Amino acid sequence: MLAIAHGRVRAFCFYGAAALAAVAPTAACRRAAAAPEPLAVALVTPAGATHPTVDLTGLTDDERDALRDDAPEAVWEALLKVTVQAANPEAPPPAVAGRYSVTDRGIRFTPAFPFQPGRRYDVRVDLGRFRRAEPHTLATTVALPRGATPASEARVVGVSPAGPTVPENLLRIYVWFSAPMSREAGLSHVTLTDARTGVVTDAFLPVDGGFWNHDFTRYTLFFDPGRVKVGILPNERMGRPLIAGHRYTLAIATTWLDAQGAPLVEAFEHRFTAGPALTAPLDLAAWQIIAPPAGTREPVVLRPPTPLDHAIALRALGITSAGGDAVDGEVSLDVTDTRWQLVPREPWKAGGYSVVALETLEDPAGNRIGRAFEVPIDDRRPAPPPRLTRPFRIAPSS
Amino acid sequence: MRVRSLGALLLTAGLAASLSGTPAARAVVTAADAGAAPTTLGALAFGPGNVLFAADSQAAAIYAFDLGTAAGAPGAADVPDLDKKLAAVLGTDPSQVSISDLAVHPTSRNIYLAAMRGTGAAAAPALVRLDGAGRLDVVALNGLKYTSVALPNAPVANPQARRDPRTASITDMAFDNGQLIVAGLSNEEFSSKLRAVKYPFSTVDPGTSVEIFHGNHGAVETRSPVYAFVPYTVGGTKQIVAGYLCTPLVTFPMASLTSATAGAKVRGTTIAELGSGNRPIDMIVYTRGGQDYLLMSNTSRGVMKIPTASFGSATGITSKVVETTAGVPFETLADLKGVEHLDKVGADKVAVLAKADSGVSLRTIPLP
Repeated sequence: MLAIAHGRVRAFCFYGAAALAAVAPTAACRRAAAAPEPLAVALVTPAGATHPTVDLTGLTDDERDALRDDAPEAVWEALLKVTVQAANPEAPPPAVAGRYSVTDRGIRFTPAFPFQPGRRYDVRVDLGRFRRAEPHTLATTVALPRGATPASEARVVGVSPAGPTVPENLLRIYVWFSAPMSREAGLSHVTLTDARTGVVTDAFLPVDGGFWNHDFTRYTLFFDPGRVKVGILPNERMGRPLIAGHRYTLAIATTWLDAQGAPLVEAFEHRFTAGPALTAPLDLAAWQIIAPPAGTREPVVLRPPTPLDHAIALRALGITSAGGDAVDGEVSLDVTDTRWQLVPREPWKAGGYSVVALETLEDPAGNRIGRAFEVPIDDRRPAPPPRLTRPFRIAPSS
Repeated sequence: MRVRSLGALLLTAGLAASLSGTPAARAVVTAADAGAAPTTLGALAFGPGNVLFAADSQAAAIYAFDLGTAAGAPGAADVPDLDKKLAAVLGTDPSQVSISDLAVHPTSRNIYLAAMRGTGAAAAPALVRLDGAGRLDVVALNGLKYTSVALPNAPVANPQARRDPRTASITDMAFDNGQLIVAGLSNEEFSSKLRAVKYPFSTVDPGTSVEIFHGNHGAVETRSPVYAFVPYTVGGTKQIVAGYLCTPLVTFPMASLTSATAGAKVRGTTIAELGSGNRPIDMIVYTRGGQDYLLMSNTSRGVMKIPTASFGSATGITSKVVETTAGVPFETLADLKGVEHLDKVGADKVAVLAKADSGVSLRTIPLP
């Protein structure tokens, strides 16, 4: 292997696999004797670019002048073709997609997607359209260094619901990671085990790519609603994934890869017990509201009698002033999902305020305010309004 | 647990319906001659002219790419080893490529594939055109003229608070009579919204939740995700025919999406129960021998051919169904196995992308 420093990257040029014509067979990057300049192929990162290109050098001025950047793709591929190295040379794959251009020394191929470290790419050059007698072909292989195996850095930092007991009709579990993960769906790395009956199969809803948050640090495991909802065939045939009174372990294997392709630092386990199903709608009137004194930045605290869905509660609950303006501040929910609080940016003023709950607010079983997740067919009550309020007062500081 | 960073979706934060709960008609629309940089590519649908709509679920946005007149050899050749060839064109191996949808160009009949190249931090979307000569060409997205619209983010009760934005997965799209209909679900609420987006992009309605009666359930199914749908005229009225998780097939008037009550709930008519443990992937409507059919691919119940003749007269299922299936008749096509995505090619053919142990194939076959 001949390693040459070229441009801003260290470029590698391997032996030509099938060097043709007069190109010396022992080293593909070697000068072709009759050519005005040696034909050479190298991976180069041009100035201002972020990823390497394949640069072919050794073309004459006339040859370069005969080429235009907008020449048909077939013309370019006949001159310079880059392919993923095939396991079966008898069935060469189609060319890697990319853009061709003429440089001051030859031809540049910029791949549509960056070359992947460690992957070998075959490069075939054929200047037959310009040259006849003199050497005009070259076959070689290029590759970026594989680089160090990415170190494991990501781990599961928690799940929600995090409490020791969940309703048996639990609809979803959120899994938080310490670092961005790969985009793959996570179900193959997750095992739910019933301490009495063993592994619970088909517990979760398979979804292509899965339900990630915007930065791939939170994954939503949806229980298969067909099993959770009473009366649907999967429910009648297989029962709910969780059974009240049973103990469970949610295990996440290290095989789940992070965004760098590294496995998790360590496996994760969360133990919990299933309790009775939550089937009642949420009732804002039943919540305890703990109002702080005016003049402080102490939190206003909401204590619903049963847990809320952690993610939805963070955006579907708020506080407004008497004038209807949202109170700006830091919202958080404790690990039991039964204590929501808002720490205001500015001190409270004495007066009237309102708790605002959007109709999208849910408990972990999907029940909403005034409307349970499962509703009888004869229930014709109108849907709750999109926004519900409950007034409270902040008393003057004594 | 405390909520964390603001993240990329702040772009759309101004759209939040916020406390008022009023429809968010205002939309963030971007138009440019080049420079589109979607983060993901999902559902595809062709619109008027050479416009291709592409969903960017991760960014909760929809792009309308002007493909211009560029085209490959007419038609689309069969590619038995599509996963391997596509991976090679993208400079990688099949494990690093996922195909999320296909759409057939209405005039060139080239097939456009939406895919992701890579699975980690460097993952990037790829739009690839398959032509009649079997050539796979990557369409340079950043070189296309485009407009894009950001979908309204989830309503929030605390517009100023830091939070982890909800993401929405766009499951299907269809263009009909000047508007793009979009179905999606979120990574938080177990529900589904259908939105009508006028094109050229200007406004986005706040979304309509469609209630259905799930005959296998015996209760009003207020919330379930729509996975595939098609606009279709039944009895002189334009309807949406939608396939839900666990496969109720439901119709409801298109007008209910755009009426003054948009944002309210609409009760659909459940005309069939097509089997549990399943979700629809794609559906088309076609005519053969003077009879219209719905063709629907599914995750675990094969490809279904459903005559539409009885859609208008079908009695909605409003009582519990004890059998696996019920409602309008259908047949499962035994010779179409592993079919995921499909789209109509002219009046008499269909392109089917099928997955088998040996890999992914793409072929065009006569409509059944």
